[in-house]
Amino acid sequence: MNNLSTTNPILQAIDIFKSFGGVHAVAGASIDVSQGRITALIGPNGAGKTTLFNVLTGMVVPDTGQVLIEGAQFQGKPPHVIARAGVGRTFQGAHVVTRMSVWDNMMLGAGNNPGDKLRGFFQPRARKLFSQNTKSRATELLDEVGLINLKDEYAGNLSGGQRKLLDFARAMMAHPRILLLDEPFAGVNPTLRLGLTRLIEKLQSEEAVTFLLVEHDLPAVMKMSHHVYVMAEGGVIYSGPPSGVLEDQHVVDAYLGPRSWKAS
Amino acid sequence: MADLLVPGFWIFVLINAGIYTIFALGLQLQYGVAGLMNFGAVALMGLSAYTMVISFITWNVNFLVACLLGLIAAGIGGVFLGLMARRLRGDYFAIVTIAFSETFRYVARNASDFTGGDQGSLAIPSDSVTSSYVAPWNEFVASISIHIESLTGITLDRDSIMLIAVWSVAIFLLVVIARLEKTPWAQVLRASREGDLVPSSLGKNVGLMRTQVLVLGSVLGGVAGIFFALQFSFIQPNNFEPLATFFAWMIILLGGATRVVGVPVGALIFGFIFAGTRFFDFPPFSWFDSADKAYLRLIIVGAILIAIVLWRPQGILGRRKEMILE
Repeated sequence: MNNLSTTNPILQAIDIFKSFGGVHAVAGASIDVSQGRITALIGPNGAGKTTLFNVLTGMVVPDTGQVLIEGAQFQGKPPHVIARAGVGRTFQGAHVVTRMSVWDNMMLGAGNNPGDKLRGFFQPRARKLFSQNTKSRATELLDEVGLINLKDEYAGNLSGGQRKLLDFARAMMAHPRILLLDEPFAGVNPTLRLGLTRLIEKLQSEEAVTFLLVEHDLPAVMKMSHHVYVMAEGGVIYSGPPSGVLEDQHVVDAYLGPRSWKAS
Repeated sequence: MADLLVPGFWIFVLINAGIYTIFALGLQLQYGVAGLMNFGAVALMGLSAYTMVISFITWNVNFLVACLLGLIAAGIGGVFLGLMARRLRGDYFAIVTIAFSETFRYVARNASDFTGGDQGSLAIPSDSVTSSYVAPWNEFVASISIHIESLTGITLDRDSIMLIAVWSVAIFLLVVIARLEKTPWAQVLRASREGDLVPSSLGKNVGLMRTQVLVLGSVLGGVAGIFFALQFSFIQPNNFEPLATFFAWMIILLGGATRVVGVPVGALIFGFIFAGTRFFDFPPFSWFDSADKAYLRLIIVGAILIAIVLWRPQGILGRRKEMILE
């Protein structure tokens, strides 16, 4: 696929450092996520991908470095502020609210819900209107990920793969402009995986959603992403089109070379 | 058993159950919805009662304003708990709330010049009955009583009017809170019981919402505190021992912590068990004298609490799945 990584970065991480104790989880990583593109972040275990994700979504405060959303500074801002700026995310372990139904999980995802505020209690009409408007969105998304028949089931009764799909669909409820997916394909069966790939591509083309995904499934990454970053030992060692990844000596070293045995 | 037939006694039990309903409703909101384990709720009741009494007697504030100040003080206490809830979760938060509640009680006991110390009600300004904070309430009750009598011909005593007042407020609050618990706001708090990660990634300001729920719960405790002070005409620090909080906990666990309707059910059952055992004169109760019976009922209350947790963790009316899944 074509490489348009340098146009219009909607989300940027600039020279991020973050250490836990003495461990440098992220050491000077910089990435640009281009508007309307699918960008992939790959790398061996312990490379710092998830920490970088957490920095981008405000769940971890970086030691130094900047997080820019459309040029505005967001580093160190709380997660809900970043989410409201249009950055959604899913989790590696698929966090669903287990003691709520699938449907209630979806409704939780709806952004700008007047009922989320305490004063919304005094605006029953606005609440009703909003919930009517969000119902069709929830139904549509659940249908897309194949969970519509399970909508009244407690989310705690779903399988690991189903939870991932729910996590994804719920994140889409808020109409995010950028969606960060942490290993969306892990533990999802091949049929659903195909459906999920199609859905990501569809949302990218039809709703102009920008995607940044961490993924270990290299064939899937190569097939769908426009730009790939490879991380190792907290830094970015490759930035370019997916076709160049396997030819890059640094990448080969990081995955197969002696360094990866010593580190982590 | 003859005492059990006196209506005055049952009115007294029902008033207490009503006060406990309002008090426990605050806990139900905090625990049943937001999963916050507040074991210091009684401090908010005390804070409000003491603020009301001090404002009225020491500062000569208008009675209604004094009541309002009491509620505001409880609300501020709730903000303080909210600040702690930003840093602490689960057991740690629970421990701090007990410390908060005991700190309040010890301050009330020892800051004698300000609170009247152990003797209570500002160590009773002894001029006359009218100097007591209950006087404006009694005047209000008397005027209502005359009004009702002229309209219906029925004479109601102070306790009957208190009964109607407490339960009117309780039912109003139950309806409001039940509606509040159906809003998306409450859903976000329910989700936050499983951690902040999901709601915050969806743009919800969980810290703020948790503070809001603690303030609301505290103000409900404050309302109960004011009724408590009016009902007993006298307050002292030891009215606000942690035991009172645990009674409220028992009420919500008995009725079912996840549902508002469980609160009055739990409070009524609790009220009857707690007050009734004193007058039971059949075995095994007849084997004990009245002082021992007072302790026996605590044992019964404790045994019931253990039984609920073991066999029916969702309470009488709760939703089992919401309580124990995973």
